[in-house]
Amino acid sequence: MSLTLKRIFMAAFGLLGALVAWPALLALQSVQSRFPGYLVFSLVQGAALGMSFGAFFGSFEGVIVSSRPKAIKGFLFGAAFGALAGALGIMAGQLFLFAAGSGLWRTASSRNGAGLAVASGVAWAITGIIVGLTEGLRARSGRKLLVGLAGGALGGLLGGAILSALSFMYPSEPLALLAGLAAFGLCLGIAWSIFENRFSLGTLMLLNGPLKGKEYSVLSKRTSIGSLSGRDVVLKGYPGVEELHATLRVSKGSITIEPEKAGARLLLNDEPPAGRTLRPEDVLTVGSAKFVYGYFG
Amino acid sequence: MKTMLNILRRQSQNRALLAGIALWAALAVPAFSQGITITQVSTDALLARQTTRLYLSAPALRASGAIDAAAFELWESADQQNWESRLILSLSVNPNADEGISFFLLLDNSGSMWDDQAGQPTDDPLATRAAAAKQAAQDFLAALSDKDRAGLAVFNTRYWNAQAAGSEARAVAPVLAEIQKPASEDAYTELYLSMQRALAGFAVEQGRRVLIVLSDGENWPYALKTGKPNPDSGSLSASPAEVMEEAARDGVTIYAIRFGPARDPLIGQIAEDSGGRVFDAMDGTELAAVYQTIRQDVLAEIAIDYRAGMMAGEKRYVRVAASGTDASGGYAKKIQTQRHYYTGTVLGQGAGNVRLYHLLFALAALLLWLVVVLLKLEKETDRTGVRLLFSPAGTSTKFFEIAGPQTVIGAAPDADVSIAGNPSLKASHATIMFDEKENVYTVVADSPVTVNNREVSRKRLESGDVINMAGTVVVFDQALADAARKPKRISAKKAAKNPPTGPKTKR
Repeated sequence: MSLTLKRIFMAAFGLLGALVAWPALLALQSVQSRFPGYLVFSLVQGAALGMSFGAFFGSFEGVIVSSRPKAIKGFLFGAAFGALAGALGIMAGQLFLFAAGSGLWRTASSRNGAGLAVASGVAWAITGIIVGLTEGLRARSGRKLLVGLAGGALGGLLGGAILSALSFMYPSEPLALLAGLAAFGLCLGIAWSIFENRFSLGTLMLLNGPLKGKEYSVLSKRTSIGSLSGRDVVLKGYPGVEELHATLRVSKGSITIEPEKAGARLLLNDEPPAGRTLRPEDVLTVGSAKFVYGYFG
Repeated sequence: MKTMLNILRRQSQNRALLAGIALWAALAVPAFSQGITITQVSTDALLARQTTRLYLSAPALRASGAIDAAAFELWESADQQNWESRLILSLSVNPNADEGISFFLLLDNSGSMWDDQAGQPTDDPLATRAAAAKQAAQDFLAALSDKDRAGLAVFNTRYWNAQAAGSEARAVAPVLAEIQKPASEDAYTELYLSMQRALAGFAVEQGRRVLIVLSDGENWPYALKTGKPNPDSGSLSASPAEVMEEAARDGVTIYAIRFGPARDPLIGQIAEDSGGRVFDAMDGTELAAVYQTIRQDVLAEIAIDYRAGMMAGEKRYVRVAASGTDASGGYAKKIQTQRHYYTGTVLGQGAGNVRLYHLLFALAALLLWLVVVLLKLEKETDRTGVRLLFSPAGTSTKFFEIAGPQTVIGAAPDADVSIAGNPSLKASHATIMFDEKENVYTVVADSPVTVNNREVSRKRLESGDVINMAGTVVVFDQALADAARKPKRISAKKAAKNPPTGPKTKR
């Protein structure tokens, strides 16, 4: 999948999150009277929102590397973590507003007035950051956490401001909530993918076989390559690829490839890698799979 | 100028506005006649503690002696039809003396404020209404306690937020001296819009919030009267209903002072709708007394904290009833009043009931996701060929199928694979030979080429090999199953004729 297609997919996943979050929030609002209080109501709404977006963003990596088990696992992890993140985000947003001296609940002006876009935007940025961290935590990758932090902050701020503005302009209009959530999801997805490319140490593009054309951003300190579905780069349908074939390691900005199984075919520019650092246009052979390394898109 | 405008105004009395007054008067809760008024609904602690606070003005109850929470009953309703009883958690008498009050003064500085008390032009600055208003405000601020906060805004055609709400009272007093007579273009009375803007100034204030607006005339908006955009606020405007709604949303009580004989017909209704009162004052002495009354009224209030409900929708009605004294002094007569206020959460609420088609959106999204998960986005090639990866012109994805025993790649238009746009690419740069019997593809360089970054003159190709011809980069692409196909057996004689072509590489 090319970088452009990947960005389109990420934005589309944000929209899917909105399509699930919308009826979930409407359903919660319709049973509002059954909640013991606004605190619990807010937390549950935050959890529903986080769960919806977290599930789709969590499954994204699995989808783009064509690993169904990884996608499903990511979906479930994202939903669970997203629920927690959403609830925390809502509370963190509230706390921020209180700490900033502009109590969300003090007056309707502070909730809906001119300062709303910024104030609520910050609250949403906190929610966005926590949702954005889902993939980084799942992959245990510092760089992915950084991507989630930056993408979540920017996407949350922009999307949250639009969501708040629409809620203010059309307070009782369900479609306005849908449009706001869609904007939130789109902004999160686009910002995440922009920062993913920015923080990436390069990309491996697969050149042949059934997954030809897939691009794998190098973001983690360790990227495992193999035929098992749990690997970061899953090479199913490639003869000669072992379950755990090799590992890409990042150290001080340099990438090296190390074999994980003796005798397994691993070449860098048709030679054994021997600890050499990857450079743009290098060709990596893993079993029968070939990658070119570089900065694409 | 203002005097002339007043005459014109009387002549063009808006009948629709009068009808509006009549309607409001009919619908309004006759608060003071019942001896109890909800002056402010505070949702400061709604999120954290599920508690709403009502500030009540109840002079009749206070006159009857000690006030007890047991004398009160409280209900909430989302539709004014179905009322649910609410638990009263606590009652505080005189809470504002301990917690302080946030006062915000909104002063009219239109042209007529610089006339004398009778509305005649004067050269004596001390004889003007403005001087009396400033002096009264100064005295009022001086009398505030250390716990009180204050703010000041001045309006005419323009709105000047002179001192933000929440300031110390002593910080406001010096600003009063800066109020100057406006130029004629600035002498209009943007009363309602300024009230709306002043209400928004309370956004960060906690506790008891009181807006005191003083004006010596009617709402006289610049844009409406001149047909030109207001130099300060453009085409913005506010209606009395919008001001009332803003006050209810923000939980602010408006006290209106009509200074002098010309009076805005709706400002009193706006004040009473917000839980406040309207006063008339003709001179500085009366004005000072009005300010004092307002402060005493607010200080004498009662606060009731109650457990708020979780009804759907953001608009909430609250009704409070108290047992008052009858003529004989017994607790027999009920007095009651009601107000509405607004709640809300970060994610909004009150969008109505969820419908089946709403859920279909979620289902559609999940199905779409499932399709994406199950769908294979990439497809392996079923043809053998070369795919253009990079060229000096940039990234490309053009595919050229290879057919026959030899395929010439070059810049020549008649080459089998003709690639234009790279001046360094030779007419016939490289040839891919296909040995059908061995099922082997071999690249033979006619000019310098690299395969997988290694310079070669001849090399057996594998699927995915990267061939760089003077900056034009192609990928040799072949289905992996095809590549793994076993070669046909050939005779020793034929083999001797066609020796194997191992790679001759140099770095």
